[in-house]
Amino acid sequence: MEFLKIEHLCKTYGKGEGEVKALSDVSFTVPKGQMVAVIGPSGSGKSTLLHILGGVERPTSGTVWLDGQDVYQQNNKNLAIFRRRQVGLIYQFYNLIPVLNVEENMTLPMLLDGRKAKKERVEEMLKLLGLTERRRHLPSQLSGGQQQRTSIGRALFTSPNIILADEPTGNLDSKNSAEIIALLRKSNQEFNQTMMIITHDENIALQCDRILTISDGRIVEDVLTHQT
Amino acid sequence: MNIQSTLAKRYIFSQKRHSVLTICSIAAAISLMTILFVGFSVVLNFQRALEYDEAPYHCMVESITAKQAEILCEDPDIMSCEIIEDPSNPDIQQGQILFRKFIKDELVVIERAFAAAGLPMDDEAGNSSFYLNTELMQYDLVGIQAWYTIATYFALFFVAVILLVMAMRLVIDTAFEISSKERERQFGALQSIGATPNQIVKIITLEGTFFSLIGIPLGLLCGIGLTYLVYAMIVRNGLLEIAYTPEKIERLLRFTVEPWMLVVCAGIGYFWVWLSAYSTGMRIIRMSPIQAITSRSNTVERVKKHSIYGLLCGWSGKLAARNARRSKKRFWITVVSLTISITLFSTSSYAINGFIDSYERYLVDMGVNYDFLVTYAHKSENALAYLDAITELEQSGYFKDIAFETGTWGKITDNSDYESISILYYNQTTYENFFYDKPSVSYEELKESGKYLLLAYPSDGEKIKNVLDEDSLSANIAHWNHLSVEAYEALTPEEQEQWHPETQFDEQSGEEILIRYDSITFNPQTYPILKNIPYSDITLDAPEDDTLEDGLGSIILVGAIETYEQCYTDYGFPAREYEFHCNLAEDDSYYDAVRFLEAHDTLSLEWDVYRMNESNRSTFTITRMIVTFLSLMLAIISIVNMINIISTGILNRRSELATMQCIGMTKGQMYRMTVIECMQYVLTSGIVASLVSIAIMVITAKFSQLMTGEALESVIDYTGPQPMIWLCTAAAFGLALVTAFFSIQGLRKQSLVDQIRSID
Repeated sequence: MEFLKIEHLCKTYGKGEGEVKALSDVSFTVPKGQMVAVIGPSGSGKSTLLHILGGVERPTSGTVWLDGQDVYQQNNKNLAIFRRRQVGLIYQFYNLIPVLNVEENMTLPMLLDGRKAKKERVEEMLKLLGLTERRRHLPSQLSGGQQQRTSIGRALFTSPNIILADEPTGNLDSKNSAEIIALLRKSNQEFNQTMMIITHDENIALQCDRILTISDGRIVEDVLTHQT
Repeated sequence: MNIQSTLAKRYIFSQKRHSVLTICSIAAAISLMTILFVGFSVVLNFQRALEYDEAPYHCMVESITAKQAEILCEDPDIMSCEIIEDPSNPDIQQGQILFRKFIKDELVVIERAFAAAGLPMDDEAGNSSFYLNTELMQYDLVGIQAWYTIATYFALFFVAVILLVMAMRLVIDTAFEISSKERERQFGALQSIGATPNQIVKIITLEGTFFSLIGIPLGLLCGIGLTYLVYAMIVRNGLLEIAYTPEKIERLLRFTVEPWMLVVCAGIGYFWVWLSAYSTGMRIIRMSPIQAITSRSNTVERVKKHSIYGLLCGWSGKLAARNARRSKKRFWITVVSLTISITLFSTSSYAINGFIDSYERYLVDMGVNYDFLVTYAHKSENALAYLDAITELEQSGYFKDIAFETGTWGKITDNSDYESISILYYNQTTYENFFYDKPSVSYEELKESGKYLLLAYPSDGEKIKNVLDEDSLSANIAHWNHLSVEAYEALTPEEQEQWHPETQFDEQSGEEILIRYDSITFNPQTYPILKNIPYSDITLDAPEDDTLEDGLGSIILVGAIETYEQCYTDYGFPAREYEFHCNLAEDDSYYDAVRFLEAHDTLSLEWDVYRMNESNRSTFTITRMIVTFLSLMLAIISIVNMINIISTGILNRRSELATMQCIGMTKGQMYRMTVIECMQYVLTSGIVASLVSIAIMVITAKFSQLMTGEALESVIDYTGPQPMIWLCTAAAFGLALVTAFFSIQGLRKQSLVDQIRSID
């Protein structure tokens, strides 16, 4: 069953001589619960694709369907609500809010939605992420791995339908990287979440169900590694 | 062109927003300095012009010939000597001398020039033959005293300059810190590829120089323009009219710009820019290249867990409170500068006006509502001698509203000794002044009736109450008897006991000499009463219903001076000295009026209230002008700081703001958070300003009370400045919102991805 459907997606930056085509006519579908690795050389359009899928950046043309909904048919306000409820974003450099502690950073999408985080859910997530002891710590007081786990906690907290991770282990050592991927895999299996992970690490890509290779803004290879 | 210069220029053009902000900050700081210098010059010139207008000379010679004036002008230290006619004696010519500036000892010059011209230093009576206008001398730096006075003025001015220079440094520093903070990693990268610390510092100081090339001339122009605006505002709004006539202000208050002042402003400005750039450079090179490359400008080590804004506005309030305090130092600098400027702007006028009102009210309550107190000493036996003095004062043409009172005192009949009564006779002017121009019985009516008004002062006056009659009052009135020394000596010792010696100071011998013997006897008199006057009619403080029946202490009977003229013989020997209150007929005739009284044999100036008030008003006016300038400057500083901090706070956090939007923050939620952030600055400032203002008004009231010795709370409106404070706060809030709005709009030109990547 198609959960995510991308049709003829194009993204162009700049105009005239400075025009850069980041994505050219990209189309593919992803079923619910699939964990997809996106690989490709630098500047190939991986991050652009991820941001377009996450409702962060509007495409120049083409459509993105998520769970039967045309994402970019929505106005900006609804797009923001879409992001907070349906999407979980994870960045290489974590992008935590420096004035909020671990618990507050994790529950921020919930607060933005005007809801109060359930205590049990907070405890569950902190335990899952191994951050119970660090819940009151600010980002500046955490290690890189802990910051990324907080970032994952923020992405997973609202149990979104899709998790988009832009090189989540790019800034971490191998031990922390393995832990993070295991965490994502666990979440993917437990909550049947769809995941797209940009990575340069072949081992991580091989742990995913499918590998999409992008080059010069086009999908040049689409390989299933496991049968889902 | 070397690489440092190329890099400096490239950085300026690549960071347009920061460059514009830095140039604006420099321009604002320079304009403040220009306002201070030009303002000081305008005030000083105005003061000098006022003095010159009143008396256009440094030295006035009482009597001089044209030839003598010509000889005086030949002295190298005398600039001019103008001959004018003595207003009180057309046969005498006076000389108005102007010295050259920067003379150390004017008396040496006078002595030398007078000797050459054959002018005496003293007149025949032994008095000085010249008069020195020390006020004008001090502005023209004539005489050693002038140097001290001007040095004091300049010392105060330089205190203000130093304070302002510190504030300037703050503005320029903030601008440099913000722009360099953004480029720490770039400087780190430059160092890592071999740039020396000196080269890094040079890049930043060169940037400062380039910014100064635009910022300093812009600041000078803005400063001159703003000062002119304040000048025009003062002239048009009549701010000075409390102290000077509109004609005088228009004629004497001139807007002038001294070129040397602009050079000094530009010099100080450039020095501070260079120093700010240099210290920023030094801060950067103190970091190792790797520290600079990996530094995160927005690292937060501690946050305030609970805040009032968090409680009131939820998570957005909490975030806003934490964001605003990420740089506590800058937050409090902005709040303090905003508070001071709002307080000064809103409260100073009220405080100064309150003080002036209370002071003037005090003078009126004390009965000092005139320009001069003149005494008339005479040797005449005629009790109506005062009429001659009135005629002389009137005929001089320098005085108007000549008020005069005389009277006697006594004891109330059938009562104990201490219940006294005063019988006062007023002329029309004094009478009307006494009742604040609103007498319940007109002077004409009082004069025609030949009766008295009865005024009773509340006290434990039950005894007095008993002796009051509805139509008349009986009293034993003091009657002065005089006896010559020879007649006294002829009396028996028992008879002599009733007489008291009357002495007079002899100026020649410097001793008190016996002139006669006096005694007082009390003769019964009955005074017809026209009306009982409530106590509230003659004082502004008394309650409305505090009337005669409420208890009495002493009695005053007021009659018309014409009544006195009919019955003065009842009181025995006339007074030797009378006092007159009068006003100056025309503002321009002050010096002539004073000279008239000084030259007069029997009339003399006892108290120069006009000069005292003029001096006080002048002080208040200058204070008001200085405070207006100061509050304007502080307002500019605080506004520039607030704009800097809010806009750069948003710019520096663009990655965070973008992240929050990526995880679902709507545009509305972002604006709400920003509005709360802005509100924190201005609301905190508004609340503190409000409290400080009340404190200032209380201190003003207490100070007035200390000065005047009376409770004057009713005159000073403690809450008067509050509407203005909150209006200023609202204006600052509006400005903060506009700044935040444009900063966010500026961010929105970039995609969220680009904003997030500003860190990555």
